[in-house]
Amino acid sequence: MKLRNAFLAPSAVLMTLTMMAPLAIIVVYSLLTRGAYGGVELPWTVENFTRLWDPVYGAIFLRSLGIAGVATVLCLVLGFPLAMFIAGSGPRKNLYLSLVILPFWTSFLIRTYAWMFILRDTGIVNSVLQSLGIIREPLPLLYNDGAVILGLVYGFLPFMVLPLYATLERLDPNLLEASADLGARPWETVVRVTLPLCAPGIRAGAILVFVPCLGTYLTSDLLGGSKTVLIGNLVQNQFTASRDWPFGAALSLALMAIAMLLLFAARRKGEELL
Amino acid sequence: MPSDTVLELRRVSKDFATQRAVADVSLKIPRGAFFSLLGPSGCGKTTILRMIAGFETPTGGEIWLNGERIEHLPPYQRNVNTVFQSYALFPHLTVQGNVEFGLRHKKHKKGSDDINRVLQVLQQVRLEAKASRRPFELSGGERQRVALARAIVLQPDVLLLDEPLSALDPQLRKQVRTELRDLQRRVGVTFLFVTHDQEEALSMSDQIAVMNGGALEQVGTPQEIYARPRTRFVADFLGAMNWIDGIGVRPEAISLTPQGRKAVVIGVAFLGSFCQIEMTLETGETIHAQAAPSACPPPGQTVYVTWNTDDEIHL
Repeated sequence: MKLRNAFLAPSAVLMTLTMMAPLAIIVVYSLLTRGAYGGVELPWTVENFTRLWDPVYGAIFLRSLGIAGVATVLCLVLGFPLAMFIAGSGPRKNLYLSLVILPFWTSFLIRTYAWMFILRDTGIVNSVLQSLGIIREPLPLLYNDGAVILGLVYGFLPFMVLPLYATLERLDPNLLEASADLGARPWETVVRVTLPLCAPGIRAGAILVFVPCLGTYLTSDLLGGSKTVLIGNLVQNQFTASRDWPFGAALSLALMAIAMLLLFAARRKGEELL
Repeated sequence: MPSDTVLELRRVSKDFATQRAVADVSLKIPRGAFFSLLGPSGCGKTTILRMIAGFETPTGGEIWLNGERIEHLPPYQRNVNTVFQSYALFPHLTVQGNVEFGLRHKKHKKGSDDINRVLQVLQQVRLEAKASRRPFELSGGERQRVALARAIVLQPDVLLLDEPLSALDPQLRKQVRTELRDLQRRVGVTFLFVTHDQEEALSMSDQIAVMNGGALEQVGTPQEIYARPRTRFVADFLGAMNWIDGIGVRPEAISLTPQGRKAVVIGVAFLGSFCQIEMTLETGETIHAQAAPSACPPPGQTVYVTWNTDDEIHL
């Protein structure tokens, strides 16, 4: 027991310093007054939290929840068949799994920039379509919600595929045979056997995708342009352009509260969190 | 095909990448019979079952069910059902949910009496009190009965059972044999029962097909196969067999008498109602015989053995 504690100590210290300490600082900031040139000043106040009730921010929260929700559902719809394919591909599944993880070898920022080159007016898609004579004017592919969702789905799909694969791989193949034996067509087997038995993987994948999508600011900043403001961008703005650190702190605490509430709701139904 | 044959295999073969699992097997399963496929592991009996169920496609040959060729049909279009060795119960469904599973599909013609049928079948396997339990809450024997109920409720033309007793503990196994046999008589469904256990096959079956190395060795009633084995493999596989000068004699056919062939007792095992005696003949062959515990000679003693020529098996 003592030895185990000794090995736990480094990560405990790291977690305290990098998670708990900044969180405590954020809580303190959220209760202070903004400084004229950024930073925080006394006196203590709860005004930053009362401002959250402004419908403007409510709308941004709702938009963020919506976009994160759509991205999660799309990841599930795209990721489930992919995970099924990989789980059923025998000796080649390690190759396919490494292909799923391959994008992680490059920075997320650079990959998001690559999407800008693909989607912009003079980008690959538009110039190919134009040179083929299919379209005359470039399609508005970039700087809208669609581009943001595309970027999120692209970026977080592996986080859905991996837990789904893990549950599918453990699925007893006899159960699928039994289902067919009892008269279920292949798609009925997917709906009545595979999907329900993959519920833990679906829940884990949904959490891993939804939570970071909810707080995203990079993807919405680069692919959404100025029109798409999500909570993440709002928080970022408070700490940069707006120089309102206390309100930024209050916003990020509200975001955390919402994410944890949703996690708790997802956990209530199932046995374990991940 | 005569109407009393429900399932027929015509020269069915199955080749896997490196080996021939089933070689040219032809079989007729009579309607309503308890039919066993008996053989050692790897003899191809499970592959035959899987081809009938539709999980494997034969490399050659035809499978006829009720006068219809079925070897090209997917499992969900065949009116046969399987009781898996591991039972393969759906863990996310209750006992009742498992039994109802197949009733929702086209393979079964939908009827308004479905609920009654489910209850009736649950009663037949004595699980009506556990209808709302999940599989993990059940004992091994109960799980096996759920697997049976789930298949029987669909009234298949043939019920395929893949070593359904092997996951049970030995005590329960003997009891379940009788139950299974009774259930088969009551519901009247044709059972095709795969096993490697000769005692199981002998005690339950109307007919047995003995398999070895992918091929059929002999088909017949348990009595025929035991008393008149047609190959040395069948003779050895079903029960014990002594080979004396190339002639087969069952241990229970050998008696110890004042005169006969001379043998020396080398070992005695007390088995309750009788003793198993191991002896060496003058020719050096080792044979076994049975005797009443009171008439059991001690090891080292010289005895004389005889048997009825009617009990000899000439191969």
